[in-house]
Amino acid sequence: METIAIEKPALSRNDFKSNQDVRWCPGCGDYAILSQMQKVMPELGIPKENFVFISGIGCSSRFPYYMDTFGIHSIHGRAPTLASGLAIANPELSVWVITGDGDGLSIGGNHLIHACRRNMDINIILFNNRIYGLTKGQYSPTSRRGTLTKSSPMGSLEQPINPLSLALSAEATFVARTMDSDVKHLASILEAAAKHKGTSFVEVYQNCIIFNPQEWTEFSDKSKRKQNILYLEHGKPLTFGENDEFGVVLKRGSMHDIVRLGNGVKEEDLVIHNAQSDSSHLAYSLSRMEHPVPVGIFYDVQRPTYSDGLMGQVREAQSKKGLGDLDHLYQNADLWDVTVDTE
Amino acid sequence: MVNNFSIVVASTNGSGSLTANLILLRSLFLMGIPVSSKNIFPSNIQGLPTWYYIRLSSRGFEAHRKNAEVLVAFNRLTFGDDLANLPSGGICLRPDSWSDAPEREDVITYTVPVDAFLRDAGIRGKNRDYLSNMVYVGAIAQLLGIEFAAVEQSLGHHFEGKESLYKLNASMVSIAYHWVGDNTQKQDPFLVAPMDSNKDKLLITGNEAAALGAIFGGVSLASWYPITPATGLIDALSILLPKLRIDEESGKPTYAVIQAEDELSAIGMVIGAGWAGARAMTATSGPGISLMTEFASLGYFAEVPAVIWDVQRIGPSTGLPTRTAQGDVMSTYFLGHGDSQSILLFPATVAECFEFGYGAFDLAEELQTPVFVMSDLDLGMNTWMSDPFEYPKQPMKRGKVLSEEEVSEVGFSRFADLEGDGIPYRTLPGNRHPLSAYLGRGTGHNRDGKYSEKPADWEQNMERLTRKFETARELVPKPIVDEPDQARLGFLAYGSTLPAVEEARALLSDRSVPSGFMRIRALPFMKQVRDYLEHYDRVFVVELNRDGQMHMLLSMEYPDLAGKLISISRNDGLPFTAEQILEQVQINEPQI
Repeated sequence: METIAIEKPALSRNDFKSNQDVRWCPGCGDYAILSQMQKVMPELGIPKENFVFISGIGCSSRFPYYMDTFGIHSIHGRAPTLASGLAIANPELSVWVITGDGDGLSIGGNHLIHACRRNMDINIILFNNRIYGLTKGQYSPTSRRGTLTKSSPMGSLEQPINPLSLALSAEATFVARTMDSDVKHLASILEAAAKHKGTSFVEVYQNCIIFNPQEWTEFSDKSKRKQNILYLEHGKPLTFGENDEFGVVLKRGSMHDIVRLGNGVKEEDLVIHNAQSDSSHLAYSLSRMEHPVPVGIFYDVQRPTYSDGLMGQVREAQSKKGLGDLDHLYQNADLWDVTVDTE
Repeated sequence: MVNNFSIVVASTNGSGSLTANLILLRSLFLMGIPVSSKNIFPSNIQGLPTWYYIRLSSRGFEAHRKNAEVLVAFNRLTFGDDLANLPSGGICLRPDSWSDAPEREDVITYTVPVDAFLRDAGIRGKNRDYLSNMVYVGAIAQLLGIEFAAVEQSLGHHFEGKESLYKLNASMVSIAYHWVGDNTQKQDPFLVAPMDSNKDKLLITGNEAAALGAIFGGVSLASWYPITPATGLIDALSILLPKLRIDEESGKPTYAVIQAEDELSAIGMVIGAGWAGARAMTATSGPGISLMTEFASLGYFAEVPAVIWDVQRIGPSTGLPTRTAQGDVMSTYFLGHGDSQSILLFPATVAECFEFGYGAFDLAEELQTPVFVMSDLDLGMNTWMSDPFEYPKQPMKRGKVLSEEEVSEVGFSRFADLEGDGIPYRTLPGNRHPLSAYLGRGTGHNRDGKYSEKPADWEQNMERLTRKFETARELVPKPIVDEPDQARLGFLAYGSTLPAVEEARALLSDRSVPSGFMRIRALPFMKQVRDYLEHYDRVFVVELNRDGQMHMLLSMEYPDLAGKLISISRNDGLPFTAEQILEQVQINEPQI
């Protein structure tokens, strides 16, 4: 009998759009992230049925509603735990955690830390709008000190946490930052995250138009963007500015300094970005920079994933002790024959 | 049809319609008409449908009604269903610009030129949403005969201190009001007329009342995590505390409100502060209570005062975050692993939210234990009429706390039961007497609070906790009972089902069927409950949850009387209506 190989048609953007009306506020940054995700997914060569999007609670966590894939809208802060269970149970799946600055860094902080260091093959996308949107405007763990909100009427008193510094300290093997306002960059980072094997952590500067609309204007405003953003490219010198006229040098004591090229300062003097060094010093240092703000891939190294490690241990045990024989196990203890006295 | 109908405003959330609806509500209230409201809003920031019900009742009934006779239709997407739900003979007010809008011959439709008004007034952008809502305020006011002065006063209340906003909104209300007056022929019987029912009353939400109560109760720490529908309670605290709790001499605040990283942290801070002698509280909803379980257990066993407001929403799990329920009763009563029960309070009115706002602290400190105040979304977030609150008349009850002098007189053994009521004495950090310091613990301990694994020590301590719980029975708020002569059937309910039960009883009474009513205001049950249950042939236990949780608790506590208890329980996220209760009663008592 002749068999016919059925070639599945190539996936397109529309394959990933669910039939749910998108209910984010008009102008929300989440639309851009959704759009780019739907653009990138078909290009990854992963069957559609293998995608799983897991979220917690928050506006960002509505994301899985709008992807026509498997997904779980779970409980506040706990998506990384579900994702870990999923990733171990079925390593074929492409597992995505969609979280926000509240969901991921407040109640979910602990889980995020451990998801990073376990290095399971999951992608964590954290939408950072520096506010609690769905509960209507409280400050979040990433809100700048002094932020005025309903729950901080005289200004927030807390030092904000830096998601990338946290992810690096928690030993994530891929750490990147992008923005909802530069969709090409966003798409490229999502793709790179997907391709990385191990925990990929991506912070997306996302604009909440209702409760914190001024937060990212320095980056969304195209006229200011080049002065405020340092685009990281592995192997290239760190430059920024309207005409790349500024650069980053390493001062004594491993502090960074910003210099203007020319007047004796040459490109050779500048730091060359190295995202692939095993040591995360440079990445961490860049994560502390605020003016300009670095975006792109900070850190991208290969370490055995949790699954690889686990399977490796199983194989090692098998090579030392053999494959194991269940029958032998049953039969290898004291045995009695039980007979019935038929008297 | 004067003063006895309901209005439903169908609009989109995030459009500012709540402001318009509150102005309508307040206008009717100022005319002296008994009013109540239900905001049915979605779990979303912008763009989903929302319905606001206003009920007018000359008899003072406040329960929800399934269908409103007056439809203000300002959401094109839901208009089909909204119109279909309008009872025959009802009226509908909508914008004139909707093409292909469905029609009904048995209702009266009035249209208003919303777009024209907005255009003529030069309104653009976001203001278009806000001001189109003001069109319906003016239009409905004219149609129903709401006094324009009352509307102006309400606008003034709402936009107090914002002169230009007041003018902008008032102007649009006036335009619509007068246009409808000049261009519309009223063909329906729905009217309002001034009454005298609201003298001295106030309009307030349960969450605001609770916050006020807590301030009167001396709250010094509120640690919390945002969750619908409890956030409003803390918001109210954040607004009121700076006004009311600044020390005159030092100029320093005598309170702190801390937004924690999660609910565990919130209750942890409460317990830490309570242990040190502060009056500390938190406010959350079902999912938060679940997270707080382990700490609640510590509070129970280490005997630390804490006040936790559960503004209940429908569960389980994330459930419907913006819908009401009374579904956390069983789980909160038995909160925690091992043998333990909690003290629960059930406010049913905004006045009780105020009363329990301060009363919960007294109980928590007297009993040295966490106290859970079980409010709900309906009570907490909707705007209710109320008589003025009664300020507390007694000094705060701080419970058995030993000072340095007292320790030197009588010594100190942390868990000794000196009075036989199960309540021991405690000391607070800062007490300089050398015998006063002790290590609080969740692990097994003896009478002195020292670590112990001895079976006798454990058992004695647990028995004392049981004794303490029996003492609580005497101290918690008593049930409120009404027992008309010759009533053979009785109702038992708690919390915000009160208006629906009262209306059902009134309707039964209209049919010459008297009924008793016991309103439970706390757990554990007091002995009056048994007396009440014994009195009737049937007792209908009314509650807003699927499993009849209070019914289950009563059956457990009074197994010999369980046979006469009939559960009337439902939960679809909406409050009970009197009709729903009556329907269930009639199924069981077909003769009625």
